[in-house]
Amino acid sequence: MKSIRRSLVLWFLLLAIVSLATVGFVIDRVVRQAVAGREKAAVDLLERQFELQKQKELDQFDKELVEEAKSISRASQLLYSNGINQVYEPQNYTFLVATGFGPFNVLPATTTMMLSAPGPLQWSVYQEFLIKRVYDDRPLLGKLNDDEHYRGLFQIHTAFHKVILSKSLNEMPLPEFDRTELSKTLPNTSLPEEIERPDGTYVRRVIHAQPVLLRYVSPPRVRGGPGGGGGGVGGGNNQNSRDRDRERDRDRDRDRDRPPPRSGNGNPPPPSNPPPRQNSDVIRFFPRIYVQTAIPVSIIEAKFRELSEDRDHELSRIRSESAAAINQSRWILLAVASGGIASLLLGSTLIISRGLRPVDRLSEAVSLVSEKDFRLPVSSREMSLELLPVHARLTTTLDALRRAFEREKQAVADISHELRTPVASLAATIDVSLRKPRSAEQYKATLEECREINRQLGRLVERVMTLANLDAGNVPSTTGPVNASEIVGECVAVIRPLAEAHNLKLTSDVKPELLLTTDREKVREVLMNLLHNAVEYTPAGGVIEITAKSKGPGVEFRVRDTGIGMTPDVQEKIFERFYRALIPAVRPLASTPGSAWRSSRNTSTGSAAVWSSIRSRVPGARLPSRCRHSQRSYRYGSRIRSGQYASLTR
Amino acid sequence: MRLLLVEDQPALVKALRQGLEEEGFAVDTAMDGEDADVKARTTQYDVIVLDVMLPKKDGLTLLKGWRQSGIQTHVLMLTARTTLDDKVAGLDTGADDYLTKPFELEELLARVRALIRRRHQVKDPLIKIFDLTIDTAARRVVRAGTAIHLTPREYALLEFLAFHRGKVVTRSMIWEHLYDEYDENTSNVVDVYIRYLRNKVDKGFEPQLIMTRWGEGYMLRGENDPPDDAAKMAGKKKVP
Repeated sequence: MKSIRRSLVLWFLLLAIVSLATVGFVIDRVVRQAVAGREKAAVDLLERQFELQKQKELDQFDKELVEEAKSISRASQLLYSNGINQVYEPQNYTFLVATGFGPFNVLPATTTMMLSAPGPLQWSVYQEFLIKRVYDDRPLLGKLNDDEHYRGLFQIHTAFHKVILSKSLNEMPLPEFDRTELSKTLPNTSLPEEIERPDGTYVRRVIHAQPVLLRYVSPPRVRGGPGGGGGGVGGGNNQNSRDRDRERDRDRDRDRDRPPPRSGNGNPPPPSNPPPRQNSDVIRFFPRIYVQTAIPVSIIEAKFRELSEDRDHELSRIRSESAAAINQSRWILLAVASGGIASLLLGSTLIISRGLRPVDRLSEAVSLVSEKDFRLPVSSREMSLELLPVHARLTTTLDALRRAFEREKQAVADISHELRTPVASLAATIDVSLRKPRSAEQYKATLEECREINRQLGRLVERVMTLANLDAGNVPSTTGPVNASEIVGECVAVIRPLAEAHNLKLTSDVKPELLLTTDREKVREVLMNLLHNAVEYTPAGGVIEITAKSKGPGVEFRVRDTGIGMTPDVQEKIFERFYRALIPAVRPLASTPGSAWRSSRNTSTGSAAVWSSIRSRVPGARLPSRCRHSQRSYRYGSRIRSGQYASLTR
Repeated sequence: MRLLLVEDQPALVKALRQGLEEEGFAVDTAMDGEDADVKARTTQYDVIVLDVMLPKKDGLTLLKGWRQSGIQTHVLMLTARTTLDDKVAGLDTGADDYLTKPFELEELLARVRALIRRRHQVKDPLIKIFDLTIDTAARRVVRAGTAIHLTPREYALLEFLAFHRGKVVTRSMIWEHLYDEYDENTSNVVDVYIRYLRNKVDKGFEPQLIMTRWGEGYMLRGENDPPDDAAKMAGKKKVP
C-alpha cells in the first residue's frame, strides 16, 4: 500500500542523506586539504630543519675537521717552530747569511738568523737541521695519537717531506691533493670534500696548510729603532707562543681578506722606525705543513641517519597527527550528519503529518457521508487550495448522486402510482358490482369493463418490464435498412384518423427513397409517440407536420405542431425517466394498432421513458424535446442525424 | 347529497358513479381539472372527491385555488400517491380527508358519509328526532320501532331534511343537493318526493315531522320547534 507519508518521509530522508553526504564529503575534502597543507608545511619545515641540521652537523664536522687540522698543524708548527727555534739559538750559530736586500743586509751575527727573505738556501739549511736534529715527530705523533676516542683521520705532510699518518688510517694514506692551489694563499684551508680511499670508503677531508714559521722575537729593547725594529725574527717564547698563535691566527684571518702578500716574500721592515707590528711579523715560510684531517663519511652518515630517523619519527608523528585530525573531523561530521538525519526524520514526519491533515480531514468528512444525506460535512472554506478541486468535484458528484437517487425514488413512486390506478379502477368496478344483486347483463358489462381495465394494466406492466429490460440491457436492437418514407407513411396512416377525430390537420413531407440503417421498431415507436403527443397537446384546428430529410450522414425526422408547448424547465425534465410533468397527460387514445407505447395519462413520461431507454440502448440515440421557441435534436441510429420536435406558439 | 367526483380514469369514474348513486348520492363528474374547477365554483356540493393527478390542472392546484376563493366544501382526496409527503401535502393544502388507491368502496362511502356529517356538524351517525331514528351509516329509518323502507331518493331527501332540521330548506336547495347535473329540473319533483316521504314517515305517526313552510320550502321539525298543529293553525287561523 502506497503511503504518502511514508514515501515523502523516505524521499526526504534520501534528500537529506544525499545533501548531507555531499556537504560532508566537501567538508571532508576541505579539511583534508587543510590538514594536508598544514602537514606539508610542517613536513617542509621539518625537511628544511633536517637539511639545516644536516648542514649544521656537516659544518660541525667540517669545523671539527678544520679545527683539528688547524690544531694539528699548529701543534706541528709549534713543534717545528720550536724545533727551529731550538735549532736557531742565536749564539749557536755563526753563520751569516747574507741576503741581497738593502741596507739591512748586513746583520750582526749574533742576530738570530733572520729569515727575512726565505729562499731555497735558507730552506735547505733548515731542512738539513730539522731533519737531522730536530725533527722528531714521535711526540707529535704520540700526542696526536693518544686519543683513543678520536674518530677522525689525519695525515700530516710536513715541510720536510715527511708524512705522518694517524693510527686510525691503518697505514693507508689519504689521497693526494693539489698543493699548488693551496699554496697560493697562506695559510689555507681547503673546502671539505669527500674523497674515496683506496679501500672504497669515503672520507670527508679538509686540508689545512700551515706554514712553518719562525716567530718574531724582538730584541729586548729595540723597538722601532732605526736599524732595529724591523721584522725581527726570533725564537718565540714558548709560553706566549700559543697566545701569539691565536693572535696571529686572527691576524691571518684578517689578512686573508686583504690580498695576501706574495709567498716567500716577507714584508721588509720599513726603513724608518716603523712601530713594531705585533703579530704580523710572520715570516711566511715557503714550505708548509699540510695537515689533512678526515672523517669517515660513515660517521657522518651515521649522524645523518640519526638525524633522519629523528626526522622520520617527527614526520610520522606529524602524519599521524594529521590523520588523527582528519579522523576526528570525520567523526564529527558523521555525528553531525546522523544528528541531522535523525532530526530531519522526526521533523519531516511531523511536518508531513501536519501537511496532510487537510487530506485527513477530507477523508474523514467523506467517511461521514451517509446514504441518507449526500452531504459532505466540511465546507470548502476549510479546504486547502490543493484539495479544493477534489472537494468541489466530490460535492457535485454527491449532489448528482443524490438527485439520481431522488429521481429513482420518484420513478419508483411513479411506477407504483401508475400501477395502482388501474388496480383501483378494477377494485371499484368489482366492488360496485358485488354490492347488490345484479342482472346478468350487468354482470356481463362489469366483466367486460374488468377485462378492459386488465388490458390496460397488462400494457402498463409490459411497459415497466420493457423499461426494466432496457435498464438491464436485455433488449437487443436490430439494425437494418429502413426506408424513411415508408416508416413515416405507416405512422401517418395510423395517426391520421386520430388527428381527424381531434380536428387536426396532418401533413407529411418525405423524400421518397430516403434510406437509413437503424432499428425499425424503435424508430416507429418514437415517431408514434411524437405524433400522439402532437395530437393530444394540439388544440382543435391545429396543424401537425411530419417531415424527414437527409442531413449529413443521417436523416432528420421532424414533428411540429401548433400545440401548447413546454416551458424550458419541462423540456429538460421530460428526458428523465418517468418524469411527471405538470403538463396534464393526455386522454388515452382509442386502441391504435401497433402502438406499444400508447399514450396514456403519462404520455410525456412514457415517451420520456422510451427516450431515456432508447437513448442508452440504440447507438447514437438522443432524446427529442418539445420546446416553445427553440428546436433541439436527437440523434438516432447511424443515419438519422436529428429529429426535431418543436411547437410554435399560438 | 350531491357529490363532485373528479377523476380522469373512465373505468373508475363509471364504477364510482354507479356505486355512489346506488347509495343515494347525486354525483357530478369531471374528468379534468378545468372542468372540475368550473363545476366546483358554480355548484354547491356537499363533498368533493378529488383525484390528484388530473389533466389540464392537477388536484392540488385546484384545491388551493378553491380554498383561497373561500369554497368551504369538504374535499376527499383520492389518489395513488401513497407517500407521507403526498398525504401531508394534500391535507395541508386544504383537503379534509385523504384516501389512497386502491381502496375499498365501502371505505370511500363511509368517509364520504363522515364528511357529510361533519359538514352539518353532526357527530352522531344516528339522528334522533322525536321517535324517528335515522341511521345515516346504515341508511335505515326507524320510527316508533317500525322500520321504514325508503328508496334511495327518499332516504336522501329525508336525510337532507334531517341534517337541516329546524331550518327551512328551499326547493332549489333540495334540488341542488339531491339531483345531479343531468337531471332535469322540474319543479314538481321535489313536491312529489316530499309527498312520498310524508306518506312513509309521517303518516300514522305523531308528531308530524315534515312541515311545509308556504312560500319558502320545507322543514323537518327540530326538537325545539312548536308542534306542527300550531304552525298549521297559524296558517289556517280563521278570523273570528
